[in-house]
Amino acid sequence: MLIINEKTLILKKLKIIFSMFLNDKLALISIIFLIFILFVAIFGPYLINDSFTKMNLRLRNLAPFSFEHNFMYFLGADALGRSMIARLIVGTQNTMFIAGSAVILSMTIGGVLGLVSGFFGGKGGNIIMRLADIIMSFPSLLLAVIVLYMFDPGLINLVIVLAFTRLPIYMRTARAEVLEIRERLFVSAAISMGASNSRIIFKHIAPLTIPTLITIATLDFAFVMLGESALSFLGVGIQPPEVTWGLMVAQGRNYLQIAWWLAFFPGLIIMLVALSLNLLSSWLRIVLDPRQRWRLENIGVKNE
Amino acid sequence: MKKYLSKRILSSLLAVTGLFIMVFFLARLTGDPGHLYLPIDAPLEVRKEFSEKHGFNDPIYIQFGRFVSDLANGNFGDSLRKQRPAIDVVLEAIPVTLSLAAVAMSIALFGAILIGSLAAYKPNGVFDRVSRVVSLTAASAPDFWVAITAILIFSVSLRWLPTSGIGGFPYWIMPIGILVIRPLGLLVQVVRGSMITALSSDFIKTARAKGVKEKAVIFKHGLRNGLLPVITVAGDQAAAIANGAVIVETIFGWPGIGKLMIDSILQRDFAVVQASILITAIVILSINIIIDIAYAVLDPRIRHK
Repeated sequence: MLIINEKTLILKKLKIIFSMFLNDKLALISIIFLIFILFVAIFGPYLINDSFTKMNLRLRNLAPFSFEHNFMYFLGADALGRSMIARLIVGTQNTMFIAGSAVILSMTIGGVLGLVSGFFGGKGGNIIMRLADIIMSFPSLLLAVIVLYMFDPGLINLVIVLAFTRLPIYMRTARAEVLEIRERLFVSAAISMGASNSRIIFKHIAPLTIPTLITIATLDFAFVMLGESALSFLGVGIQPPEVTWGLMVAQGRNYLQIAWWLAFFPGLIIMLVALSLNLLSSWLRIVLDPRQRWRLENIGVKNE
Repeated sequence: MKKYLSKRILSSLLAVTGLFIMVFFLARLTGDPGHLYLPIDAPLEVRKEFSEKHGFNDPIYIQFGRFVSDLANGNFGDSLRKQRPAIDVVLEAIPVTLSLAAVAMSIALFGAILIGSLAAYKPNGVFDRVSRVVSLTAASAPDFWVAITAILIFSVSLRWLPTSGIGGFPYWIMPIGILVIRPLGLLVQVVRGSMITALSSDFIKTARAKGVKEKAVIFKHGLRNGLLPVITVAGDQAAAIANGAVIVETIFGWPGIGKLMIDSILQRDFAVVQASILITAIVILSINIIIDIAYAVLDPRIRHK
């Protein structure tokens, strides 16, 4: 009986979340678009086989929106006659992979540092937060450019640098949350039951900070993606023949006067993905904030 | 207040020192700078002589010691690229970036306060919803892409504005416009949020009940309280504007600190890179301290603490 109750409870919750999505049309469109992009990032490259590198010199700088050639050339072709669509698809995978890994890395390390510094406080905690201040006080783009120019601008370094520049956000958020949660009764209870520090931090406190961290990560994904694009644009990000959206904009810049679509489409996609993430995160913020939640829930009741 | 400020300044100095030590050692990890500065086919003797002359052969702690003592004398070393003191090169570039950033930030702040307050006046109204989507779009736009698209439209196709360079008013339009977009988008959100909180507080009800004019309620009573969080965020935007300046200066060929740094990094001009990092960090931290003071001036609760 109890299990069924829980199941219906979960179902009901899902239904509420779904109706809250329906009540914010923009958030709904965003999530559909993001799922589409995710799908392209995961499966796209396998579906297009080798057309990403296939050159067709007769179609050099082919203009977009023509059905004369096959569908892959609908968005035109680049200076070597490679299909724009195929390049965008491969770019999707690289861009998403880099931004995704950087966000996960940053969230994990920043979250743990913030948790530890918030829980233990004291001098060690302060030193950790001063580190966050140093990172924050310097323009992240310049920091990344400096580091990437000193080391190889390879995939792994790029991810590490991007993750590093975003650390302070997670550190500060996690710390602020822990300072509040630490004072709650169940933590005192756990301490008096003799739970170890690491158990209290990771079993009792960490799960409560995760929703906030994820909301921030959604927004941060957009920042990281824009950062990665800017680095690729400046020539210290990912290197050809690999391709990301930012690099495509950079390469297209040289052909601006004769083939505008080379730089335009990848930039447009960057903006659309960033916008969707922004809309999604502002929806998430409302859903997770009990004081604002009614804005989306009440209409849902009316609709039912 | 004094205690708080001196604490702030001390921690800022610590931050600058930390950043500086980090960059110095990272830079030396990449190898011999002479290797990158000299032509690829330079003979070995020339390379050796070059490293000898600039002291790149010494152990790293000696190089660092020399750098610190030079620094104490206000000497950042010579720019390898331009053959003159690095600090001069950097100090020439700083005003360009500062003027660019100051104009952009003023426009962004002013615009954000106006749009944000109007949106907060009727939350979820038509204006609020439109401004939400527009400001989120602005905050999501990759600035380099907007820049080259703008060049394509306004310089290449319409031939209204110059593609790059510095000069009179027309040269400022595109760089400033592009630099404004992202901070404006972000700040509108912040102003809206804090204005909604301010406008729903009790003293606003009191003001309205007293019969204060609606305009005065919003811009005098509401704004003064709603602005406080905005100022803090505007401080964080100082570093963000510097990010934008790197892009804008590179694309539009402005001889500011961003372009200087990118160029120096590309050519491994150590002295200039180090000098610009230090100066940039000092400028940004000073701005943050000034903002702290402004905060205290505007909020008596902090001033009297």
